[in-house]
Amino acid sequence: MYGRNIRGPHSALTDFLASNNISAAQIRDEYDRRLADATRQAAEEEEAAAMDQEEPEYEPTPESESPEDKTKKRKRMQAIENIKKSKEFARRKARRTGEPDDDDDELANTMMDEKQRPNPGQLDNCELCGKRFTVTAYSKTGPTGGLLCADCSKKHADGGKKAPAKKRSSGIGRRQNQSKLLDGMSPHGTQSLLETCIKKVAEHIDDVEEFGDLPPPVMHRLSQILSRKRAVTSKTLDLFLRPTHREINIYDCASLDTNDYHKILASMPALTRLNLRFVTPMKDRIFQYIMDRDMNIQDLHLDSPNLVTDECWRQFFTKLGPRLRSLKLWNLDSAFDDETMEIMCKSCSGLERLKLKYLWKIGDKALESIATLKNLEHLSLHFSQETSPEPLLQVITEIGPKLRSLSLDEFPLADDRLLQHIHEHCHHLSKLRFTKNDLCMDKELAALFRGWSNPPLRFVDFHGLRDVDMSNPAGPAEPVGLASDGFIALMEHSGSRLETLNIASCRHISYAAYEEAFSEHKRYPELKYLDIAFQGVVDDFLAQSIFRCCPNLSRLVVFGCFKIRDLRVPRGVNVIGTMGAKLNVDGIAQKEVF
Amino acid sequence: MANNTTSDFVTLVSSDGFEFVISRSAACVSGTIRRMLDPASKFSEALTGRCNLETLSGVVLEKVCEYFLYNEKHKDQTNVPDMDVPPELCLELLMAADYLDT
Amino acid sequence: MAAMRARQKIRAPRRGLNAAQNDNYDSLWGILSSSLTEIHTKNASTLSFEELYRNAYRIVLMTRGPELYENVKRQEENWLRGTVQKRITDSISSTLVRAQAATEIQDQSEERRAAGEKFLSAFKEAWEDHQLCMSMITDVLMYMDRIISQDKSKPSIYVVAMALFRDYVLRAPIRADSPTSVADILESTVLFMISLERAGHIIERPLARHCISMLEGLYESEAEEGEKLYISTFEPAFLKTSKEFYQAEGRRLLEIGDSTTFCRISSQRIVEEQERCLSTLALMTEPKILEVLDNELIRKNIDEVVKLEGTGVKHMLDHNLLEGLRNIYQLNARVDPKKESLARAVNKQIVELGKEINASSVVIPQTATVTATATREAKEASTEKKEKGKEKPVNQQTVLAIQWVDDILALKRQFDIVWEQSFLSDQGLQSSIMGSFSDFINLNPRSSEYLSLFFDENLKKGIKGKTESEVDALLDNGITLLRYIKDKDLFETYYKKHLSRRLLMKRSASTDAERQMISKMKMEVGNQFTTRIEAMFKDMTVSEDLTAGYKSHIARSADPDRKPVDLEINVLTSTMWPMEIMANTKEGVVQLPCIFPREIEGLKQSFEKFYLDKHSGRKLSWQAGMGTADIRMTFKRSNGKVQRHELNVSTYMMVILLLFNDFPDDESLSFEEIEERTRIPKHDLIRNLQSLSLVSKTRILKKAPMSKEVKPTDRFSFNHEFQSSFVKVRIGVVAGAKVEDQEQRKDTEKKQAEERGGSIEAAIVRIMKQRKKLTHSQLMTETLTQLSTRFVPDVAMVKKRIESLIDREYMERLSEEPPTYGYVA
Repeated sequence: MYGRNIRGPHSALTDFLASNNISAAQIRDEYDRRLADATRQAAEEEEAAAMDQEEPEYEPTPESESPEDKTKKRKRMQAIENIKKSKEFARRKARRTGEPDDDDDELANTMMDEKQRPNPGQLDNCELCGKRFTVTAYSKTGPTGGLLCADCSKKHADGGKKAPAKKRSSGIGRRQNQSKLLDGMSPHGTQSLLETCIKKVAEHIDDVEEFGDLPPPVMHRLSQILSRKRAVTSKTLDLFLRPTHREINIYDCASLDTNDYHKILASMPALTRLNLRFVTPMKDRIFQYIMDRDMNIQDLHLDSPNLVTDECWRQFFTKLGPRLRSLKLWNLDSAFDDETMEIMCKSCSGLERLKLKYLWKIGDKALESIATLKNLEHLSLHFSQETSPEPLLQVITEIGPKLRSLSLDEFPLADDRLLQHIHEHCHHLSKLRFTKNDLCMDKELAALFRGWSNPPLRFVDFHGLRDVDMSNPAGPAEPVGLASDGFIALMEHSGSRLETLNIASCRHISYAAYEEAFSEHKRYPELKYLDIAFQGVVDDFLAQSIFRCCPNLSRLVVFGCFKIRDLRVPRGVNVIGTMGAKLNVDGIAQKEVF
Repeated sequence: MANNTTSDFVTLVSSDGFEFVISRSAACVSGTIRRMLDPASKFSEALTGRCNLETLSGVVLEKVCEYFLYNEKHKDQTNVPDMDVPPELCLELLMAADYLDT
Repeated sequence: MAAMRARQKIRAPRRGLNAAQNDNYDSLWGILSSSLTEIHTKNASTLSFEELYRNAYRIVLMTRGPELYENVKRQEENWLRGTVQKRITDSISSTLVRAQAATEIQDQSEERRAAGEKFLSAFKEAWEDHQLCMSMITDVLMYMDRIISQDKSKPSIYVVAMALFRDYVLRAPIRADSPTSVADILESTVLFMISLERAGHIIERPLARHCISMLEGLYESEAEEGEKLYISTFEPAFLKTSKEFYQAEGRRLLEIGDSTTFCRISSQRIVEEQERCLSTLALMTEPKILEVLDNELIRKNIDEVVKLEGTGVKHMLDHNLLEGLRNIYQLNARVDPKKESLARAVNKQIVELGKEINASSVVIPQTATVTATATREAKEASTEKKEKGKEKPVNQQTVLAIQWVDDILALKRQFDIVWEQSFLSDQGLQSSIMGSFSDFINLNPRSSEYLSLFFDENLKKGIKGKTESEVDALLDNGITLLRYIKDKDLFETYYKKHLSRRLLMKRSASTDAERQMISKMKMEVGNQFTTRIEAMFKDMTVSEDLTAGYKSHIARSADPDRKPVDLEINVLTSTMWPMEIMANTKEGVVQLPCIFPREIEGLKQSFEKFYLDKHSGRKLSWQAGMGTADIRMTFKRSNGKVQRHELNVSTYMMVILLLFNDFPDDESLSFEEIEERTRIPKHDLIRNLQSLSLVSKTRILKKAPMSKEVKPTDRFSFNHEFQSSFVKVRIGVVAGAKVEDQEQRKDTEKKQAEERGGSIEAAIVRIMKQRKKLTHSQLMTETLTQLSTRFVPDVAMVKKRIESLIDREYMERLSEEPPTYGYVA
């Protein structure tokens, strides 16, 4: 097998190499380089031999170099200059970015030393033990630059290779740790290869010519990462434009201009899903284009298309509205008023998903329009205007029975009647969000869940359902917001299917309620994400109970839970937001330092 | 070549004929390979312990195997740095990772 | 430096080597399609997973995943509809179909059973195959699934295939045009197997279990969100047949009419059903089937079972059948957290036994005529008896009182054992049993007195020679009874009365025991209850010091020649001690203090001076009625001999006897003369004279005429002929009646009522002061709760007190509707 002409190493060695933390890539690089250098050196040697009769095989070490030896020095300088021009040098230098780059010479020197070494297959004396051995692609470099025999390589590797690995990990501080946790990445074990590669591609996005056959989900993920790095430009956008694909998702369009939007629409005629965020430069013309081409857009998700006029919106909805299956709009302050909303709701009768966040010009009237969307299954609203409670009740009464998810962020005036309406009219919800409200009573929340014909919910977000009265931290006698009774009722109703639960800041849930909800024999088999931030009562014991009751938990958010001091965290669970607590993950202690 | 389905090592073969013998547990990080080798399903790979991966070249498969071992080695550690992927290989490896569900 | 950055371009991955020739949907699907068939026919080993996976992967990359999804779905449907469905319907024999039509055919059970097992096996195999194949196919199509299910609009192909199985196999008609579906047959067959098992046959559980688990794995709706088929179809049917079964079972067991058998079989059934849910059905059914069982078999019948003549609870209690009682308890506990049926029966039994005890406490052995059982009769009986004899029956009454307490304690012990061992120390039953005890104990109007007597007796004699722990246990027993007594204030009154006698007459056997008793009472009834009793003890100790102090004072100051009279004195705080001891007044008439003889008068004055020097401003009033005196007497016999005796007598007797010092021996004094000269209360005087003149052993005075009654005209003279073989003679006062007679009792009750009136008023004022304003009903409830620890106040009495407080302007009426009061500060 050795004899074949291959670039890759041999499979039988892989195990051994990896176990010694030897990167195959590094080895191959070295091998490549040695091979290349060997030929180059051979040529140079011939050249040098022609010039004078110095012995070429033995290269003196820098220490033994004497200033008088001018020929040698000249020759070395010449070689170094050669090296500096070489591709390998450029590549190596590029890899060293971040280090002070004033010492090109040093790098060149090192490379010079390296290339004096024998080629694989030749014989050499080991730098440490002096034994004669056959040089291979895997021979290690000793402390002073010479090569080592197989035995010494192994010994040397033990001491030499571990140190840099440790150095790397110690460089990752708490901040980076927390940042990773917040990104949903587990601090344990390695990233998936897919994720590693996507990151790498994103890192080198400027060098990518074409994505090839990347499947849409991977493209989606790449788009997310690039957007986050703010690297979506006119140029990188091209990579995402695929005529056969039906969807495009760009989460940061801030650097794109009108031409780019045209480009997207023109090069992707089959587009059904247009998901663009930060599209401030988008103008009426783009919509005009869509209408002119009669494009089959079914899912329209746009964040801040503020230059689009109300007229244009209305025209668009009237013409192409019936095709829309989902519409999501964020951050519109200069256009999109109640009237547009009314036209939208009239035209887009097939709408199944609707999400409107921070649309400044819509209010009560818009809610009344939404109540007419009979096919709606998913509704998510976060209004900027303060709306009165009644229109919301109307929405629930009219379209509640079909809703599968309902998300109401910050409706401060909604009261107990809303909960009663949900109890009465919604029977197919799997997701329910209702946040930041201090009018609804605990007993009504409990009543919502008790005897509710709705199947168990999978997603519940009730953060900020609490009384806010600084002068009365214990809350009123009759609990406001999600408190003990409501919490217990919620867990009884939905515990069996619940995957995500956010009850951050629901500060009136008592210790006893936690104890009951997470008592010994309760199990919440599906619960993955639990946010109990600012629940002051939660202590180590309760947290431990939570781990016991939620075998599939992967994230526990505990900002502001100051009683959590010392935790044994099961593997696979990310605990986020502890302050100076001692976390013990499967025997790995991590004391957070401040 | 192992004929034993429960052998601790399996053979992965690249499209250009390179063979990699690797521990089963490491290889099963890949969802695709895990299902391929699942003893309950009686596919030929499960019976022979040998997977011909027609979509992967030797170079890519080597890197994949490196990842398998890297992953196996670091699974009990925290804050593991990402494995180094040479940029010129990253797109191909990305496809492979997607294909292998890794 | 830009020039140095010779970066490599990253190119798109090369397509797979033979991508070009195969990138054709139809050919790729052709390969996949035939492979799927191979998988179903169990030829997977000839297939390469990688090849199939790769083909599916290519199709998805060609963005034709949805087509693939639909194609696979169609192929699965065809497979199930064609091959599998036929296989299943073929396995259904005509026996099963017929059995389905007619509900119960017992005689064909063997045949049906065989046919059923054959069908279930076929079904099991088909289901297992389908699951296995689909999991293999899903694995192969994993990539497709991952992409397709991204937007969650379509379920995984596995889920779809399971739903297809439901639609094209389970819900297929068994024959063309038949209204009966495979599912119907499956359901009836499994239910039939279960009914066989209930009848005691052995069935092949794993087979049934398997079919059930299939129903558990299938859902009503596509997306696995609806209900499981098991819940929506099988479970209700199972519960329905079970309900019928247990109704019949209940009837059958009641006909047997033996509660032990009922309990045994019921418990057995419970275990059976639990086991069935574990091994054959689903765990989640367990609570439901047990509820059916509890309802149909137990709840509807337990009352009957408890009451069963000759085998029910009464029988068990009579014969102390703890095991049986436990079974009943456990069954009853299943259906009723309060265990009312059982509690009722137990309570009835306790009250019955208790009434017997009450009755026997008033039955007097000698008087055969008195066979009264009810308390009212008992009262009459005691009146009757009192008139007959004085001394003996009274003592007997004491014995009966103690007997009463002992009997109750014995009964209590018996039920404690039952409670502990059969009722597993159940809290609810404990209080219910306590309630029953309390009920019958309070049925006896003299319970407080009896109990106090019990303590009295024990503290005087009973505890002699007993170890500390025995005493402790004895007192604890008594305290247990105290817990049952509602009118604790009445008990307090009696206890104080008995205690004062024990203390003043030095009859208490052990001060430790007394103190122990007090601390126990304090724990049981509270501080306020014992403060006065403790004060009595305090008086006693203070008095001891006082006596000693006076003695040394006399020794220092008095004339050394005159022999001083030893004085032992008890100074009692008037409010703390029982009324009758302190009583100076009787029926409003001020009783003048008794006239002491000179010697004693001197002593009295000397002590008063001594005492008031120490505590100025206090008033001492002398209670001769409770004291004793040692006197030496000289008897001049008619033969001239002189006989001396030392007599221990009551203070009153001493006063009477000293009277005769001033008279010639043969002179006599009439009763009225004695009364006038001593001013001893008439009642006491009679008693003391009786002791001195009627009892033959202590006849120091001669009475003329010699009759048993003491009449005002009777005359008394000194009896020099008094004979006794002892030098020291103790002369007791007649009738230190243990149990009160009717008059005393009325007296006590009257005092009690007054005292209660005070307590009620105090409570009302306390409450009003705190609340300022209250409605009538609120005030009543609060008052009653506040007082309930001491006694059960009479509602009419409370009302009366409220009126009185309003009259006296402690409070005012604020409104009439509802009646509301306000506090007047």
